[in-house]
Amino acid sequence: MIAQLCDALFIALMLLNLLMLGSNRTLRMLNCIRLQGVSLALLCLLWPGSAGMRAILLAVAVIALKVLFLPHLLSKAIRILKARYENKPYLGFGATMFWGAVGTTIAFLLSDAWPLQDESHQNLLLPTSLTCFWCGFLLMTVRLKPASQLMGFFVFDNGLFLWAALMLSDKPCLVGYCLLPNLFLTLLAWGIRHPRLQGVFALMDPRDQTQSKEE
Amino acid sequence: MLLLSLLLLPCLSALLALFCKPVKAQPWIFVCSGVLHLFLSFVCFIQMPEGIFGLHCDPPGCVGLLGMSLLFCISSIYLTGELAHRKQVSDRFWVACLCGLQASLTLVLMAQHLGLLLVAIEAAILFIAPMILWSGRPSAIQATWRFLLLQAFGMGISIIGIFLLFYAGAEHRETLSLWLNDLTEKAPTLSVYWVKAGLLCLIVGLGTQMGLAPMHIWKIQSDGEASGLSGALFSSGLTGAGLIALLRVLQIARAADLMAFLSPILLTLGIASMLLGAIVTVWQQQLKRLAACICIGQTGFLVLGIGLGGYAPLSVLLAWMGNMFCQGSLFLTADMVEQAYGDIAPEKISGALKVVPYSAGVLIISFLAVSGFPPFMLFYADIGIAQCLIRDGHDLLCGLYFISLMVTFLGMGRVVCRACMGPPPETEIVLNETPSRFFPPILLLAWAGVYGLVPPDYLIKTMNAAYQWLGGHL
Repeated sequence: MIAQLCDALFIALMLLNLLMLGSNRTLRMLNCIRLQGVSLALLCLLWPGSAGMRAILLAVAVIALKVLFLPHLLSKAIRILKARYENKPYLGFGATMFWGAVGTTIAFLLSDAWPLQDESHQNLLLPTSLTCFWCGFLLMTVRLKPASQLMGFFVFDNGLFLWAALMLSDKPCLVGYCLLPNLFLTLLAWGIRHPRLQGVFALMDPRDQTQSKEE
Repeated sequence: MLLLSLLLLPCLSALLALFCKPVKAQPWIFVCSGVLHLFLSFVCFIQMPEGIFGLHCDPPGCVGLLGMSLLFCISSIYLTGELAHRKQVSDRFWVACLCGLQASLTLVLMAQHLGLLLVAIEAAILFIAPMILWSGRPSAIQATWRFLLLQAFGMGISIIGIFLLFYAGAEHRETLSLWLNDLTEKAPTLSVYWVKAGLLCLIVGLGTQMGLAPMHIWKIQSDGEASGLSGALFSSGLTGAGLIALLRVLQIARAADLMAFLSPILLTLGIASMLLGAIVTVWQQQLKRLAACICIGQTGFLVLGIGLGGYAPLSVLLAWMGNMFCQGSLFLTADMVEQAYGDIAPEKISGALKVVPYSAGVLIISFLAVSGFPPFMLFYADIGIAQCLIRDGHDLLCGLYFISLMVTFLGMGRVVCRACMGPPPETEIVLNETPSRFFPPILLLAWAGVYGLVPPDYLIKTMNAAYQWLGGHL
């Protein structure tokens, strides 16, 4: 039962990734990020190898950081910059979703081919983690708005967390290394909404800059 | 104790700079810190002290430490002139960032724990970001954004690499740690698939931090936007930090007998970086950005040398140290010339030899030094790599290597000659050169020349030790 629930959560994480790739609404993407955070917290609690108090603390930390604090910073930034829509990404939404699906397929093939060290990992953990890396990378590279790029890094970081918290669950200190990218995330999210920098971030789309020069 | 002093000295200087109120004292804090750090580095270089708290200066670390200390110490003199010119800049925070950068780079050179190594690199990145942002121009803010986002990505990939390495040791999960000697010792028994994947991720992650092609896109913009001093320090500093981390990671590959697998990858990345660095110099008009392009090529050169093996790592060590001095000098003189012309478009700068004769003269010599002219250190490094390429029968690589060196020389020579020769534009020159601005680059070049022409015994001894540490046989 628990294994099936974990699998459902992994599938939810992958579907949320694809939904984000196909969405042009940044606030909807942010909600996907929040849902991914909730899924991660539940996985921390349900994962077979996780122990009582440590799992609860980890889940609380995930909720605090990935569902409340960082998304709050980002939603403020999106509202301040009025960047609710990602209109003209480098790669169209359909094409991005297609490449996301291709990446997901490759992730499944790769995880089948690689010899896992622990039999308990013979499930959706590795493909989900690889999919998060790929979809995060896609969002960072094909989107133009700083907020969308940052959400891409968020997704990438979720993949990292999955790996540290579940695949290496017997070495809890490794989760600490996931804080290093989170430090960047906080700094970047804070940077977007800083009063002195807002004007520049609003113009970070090169096509917007061309338009403003023409005007 | 010596190692701790080396680490704590810049930290204390950073704190002192933050809380010291007299404005005129700010640059002198950095100067004093630089001189003391250099003295301690020399002592460390000669004595090679025992490790403490997991910090240990291995031979390549010692080479890097001496080069980095010399660069910081000499560049600190430039800061006194720079701050006198840029009165609007809040010195306190800038000086604190420079000291913090020195502390974090020192930690990178000493860290023997993979996790600590990444933490130190992250600290260096966080100290560099305000330096790029400093001018406050929109382009600087965009450069900072790109720099941070890509560095965050690189850091993420490096962490994946660490996790993969850890995952490779399922049999040793209880006892395996991220200490480099532990990983090296157990490397032959780790799962080959996962070690290969981990090492690849670490190469990509650290390559992003070094500015290796195709992950170099942050470098030109960031180095171009930062002031010359910051550019000189962080360009060499971050490349050096990535390089030493890569050298340590490759010790694991060597122990796992995976160098045959990694060598072609390193050679490809290295030559691609050299070629790309050469190609972008052809279109570049701005002097500081040109220096950044050269830096991309030189990063490729270092990685190419590591991939070649044989005697090439000795050339890599020479090139690493030579780059710190020659590129440092190039960044400082390019900054001086650009500042002298104020707001003039970079492509209209000309006649610098008549406007700022000393700086322009040193700029031309720096250009020759970076291009690999004798007697500077890079000449010997270039020759060493070429010998290895020819002897090992890498004909295609050798051809591409010489083409990239030639294109870089022509591309850079075109801009430097245009900037220095010809009649100066009929506009008011906003900055007069002072000894504190042109003397540090001369000193850096002199050091590169002396170390190249008559290397002292202590340098030869440590270089040889570093070469043996890298698996070479004398």
